[in-house]
Amino acid sequence: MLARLAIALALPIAALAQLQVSYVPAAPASPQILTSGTSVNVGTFAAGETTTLEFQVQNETDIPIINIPDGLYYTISSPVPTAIPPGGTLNFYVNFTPPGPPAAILPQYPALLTIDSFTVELIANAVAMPIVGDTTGATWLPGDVIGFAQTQVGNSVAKTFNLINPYPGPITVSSFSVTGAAFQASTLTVPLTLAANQTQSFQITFQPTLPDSNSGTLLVNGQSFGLLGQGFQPPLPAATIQISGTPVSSQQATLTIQLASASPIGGAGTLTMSFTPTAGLANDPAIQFVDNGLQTIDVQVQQGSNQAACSCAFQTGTTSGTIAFTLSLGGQAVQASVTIAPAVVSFDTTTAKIDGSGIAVTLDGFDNTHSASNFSFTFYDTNGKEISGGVIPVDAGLQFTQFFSANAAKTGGMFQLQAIFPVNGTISDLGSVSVTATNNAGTSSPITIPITE
Amino acid sequence: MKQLTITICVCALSAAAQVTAPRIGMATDSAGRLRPIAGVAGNFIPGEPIASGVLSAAASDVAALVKTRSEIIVIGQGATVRTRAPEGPALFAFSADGAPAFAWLPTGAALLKWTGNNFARVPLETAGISGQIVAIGVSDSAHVNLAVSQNNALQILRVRLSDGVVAVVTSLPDQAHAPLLMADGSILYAVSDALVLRDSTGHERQIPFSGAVSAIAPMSSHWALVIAASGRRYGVRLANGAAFQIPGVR
Repeated sequence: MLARLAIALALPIAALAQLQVSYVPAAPASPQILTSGTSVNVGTFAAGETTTLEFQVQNETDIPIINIPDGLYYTISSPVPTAIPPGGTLNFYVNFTPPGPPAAILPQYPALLTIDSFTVELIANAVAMPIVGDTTGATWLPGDVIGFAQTQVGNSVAKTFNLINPYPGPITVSSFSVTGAAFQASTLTVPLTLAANQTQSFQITFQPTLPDSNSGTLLVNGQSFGLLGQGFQPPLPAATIQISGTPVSSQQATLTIQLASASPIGGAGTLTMSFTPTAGLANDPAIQFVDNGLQTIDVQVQQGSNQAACSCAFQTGTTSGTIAFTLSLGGQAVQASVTIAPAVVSFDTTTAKIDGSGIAVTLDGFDNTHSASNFSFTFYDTNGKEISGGVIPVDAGLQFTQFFSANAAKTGGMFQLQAIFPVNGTISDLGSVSVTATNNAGTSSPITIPITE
Repeated sequence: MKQLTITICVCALSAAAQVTAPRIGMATDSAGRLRPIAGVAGNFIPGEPIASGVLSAAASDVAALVKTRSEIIVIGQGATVRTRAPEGPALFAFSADGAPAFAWLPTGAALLKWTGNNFARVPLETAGISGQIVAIGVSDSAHVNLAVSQNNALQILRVRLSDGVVAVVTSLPDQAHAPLLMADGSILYAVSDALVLRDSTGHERQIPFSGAVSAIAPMSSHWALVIAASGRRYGVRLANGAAFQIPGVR
């Protein structure tokens, strides 16, 4: 324990009294100017424990300090110069160590502090404090640090201690508490009187909250014992990203995160996806996790599980390129990617409706190369026979170029093509239309659309 | 066989051909905003909201019907019509051409018919209806269909518009819930771990769907919005029941 005793000194008093000596107690108390020839009580301290007292000396003349006091229980804590220059100030420290157990506590511990012609009697008191021991016989005094075994975060270890009265007289324990998030003490009812050599057991449970140093304090009668334990986090097993199947455009695909073994701990991380479109194509905003509409999603690992849990379904978009995933989990950075290959035009919802004297064909679909150009429409009668002159090629390259140039960054390779075909003849005799489309990846398989009213 | 010719002017076709972004329909998000959903199957992109504070909504290819706390809003092509209405949700139905048709307001037990520029109340003999009306749909010009749920049983009531009396009752299988009555007489409803597409002839097709369904609403003529009990939203293609999750929005 360290208490500050300061002797502030030295306003010159004629030839023999050029010193002002002050005792500097621990904050917030103010320095106390001492008067030569008097006594000062510097406080009560734990027996067996060293307390450092701070004094300050001011000297405005060239009068050397000719003596430093000492006593049976007092020592100067560091070498002190033999003189203080005129106008100078010196802070020096005196250690007070009342005897520890098993010595009995004395009523007072006096000592004479002499600085040149200045003398003051220091009086200190001591109080018997219990010490702490464990079942192995190890003991700790106030100010010592009690260590705990390295423990996994989330687990706990309980250790049994004893409050020991090593003195020949009784000690009253009036307060007992533990601070620190990682430490918890068993209940001890206070006040508690310990007879000479009597012990009282208690437990402190260490449950680290940090994979690092966890500190706390055991306070007994205001005297503190440090508590220190190291928490550790075992690493999560190695993780791998496994993408289901071979994703292509316009899918809601899934992936799983496998762990090499059952995880000894719980954990959390994030899975991030990014998209690099094929050169020359715009980014595709539809490529995202469907659960939150973002490109980052949380990942959780439950203790004992060999798989991380996440809502990892994602959209593959409608643009060719590479979707990359990066998993950040327990210090691991795991990557995986999937290539969305260029593909022929794919159709989704399609309709062909009689619209006045024409056929209105609407084609919803996507072109993940953003290069659709030539379409072919083949019309059939209600018997499924191709009509004469029924194959109609349409070059829509310009329209698609303009559309993708303006919209691909907002809607990827999706499109809706609406075309109207004027008809001469009995329009109700038309039964269906077959459509193909060509882009940089080739020509799509024909789809047949029934013509409806 | 008659000679049939198709005359195509390539130049004219080029002028007539339009390329735009494909549209799935309209859907509410988890924050009660109605958003257009662009996309194709498996690739949805929610757009900016066009209405907020939405308690109920339904959409066709040409219109959206929205119930907010105090209004029914009809959002059509280039026009928006607002009608004061009691607090609470609503149910909506569209005609086969996508035009607004009916609205049901549980608060006040009011069945409303869209006249083209406003809603007008039509009679409904609620005394003859036991249970909760959970969906409405068009029937023919003289009737409206009501889906009524009672004791885990779902019935479709065909109600005469002239006097509001129930004319025909059709029962759906046990555990059917969250029905969507479509203008062509088909029904999409949920059962445990599946969606059921029932056509106008009563033929049913069951499509596996994991998770409980809390509601189904029309997004367009091709897609329905299925809201799962988890809060996730799915676009379900009415042609085949294929379901794709609608991405959450920030």
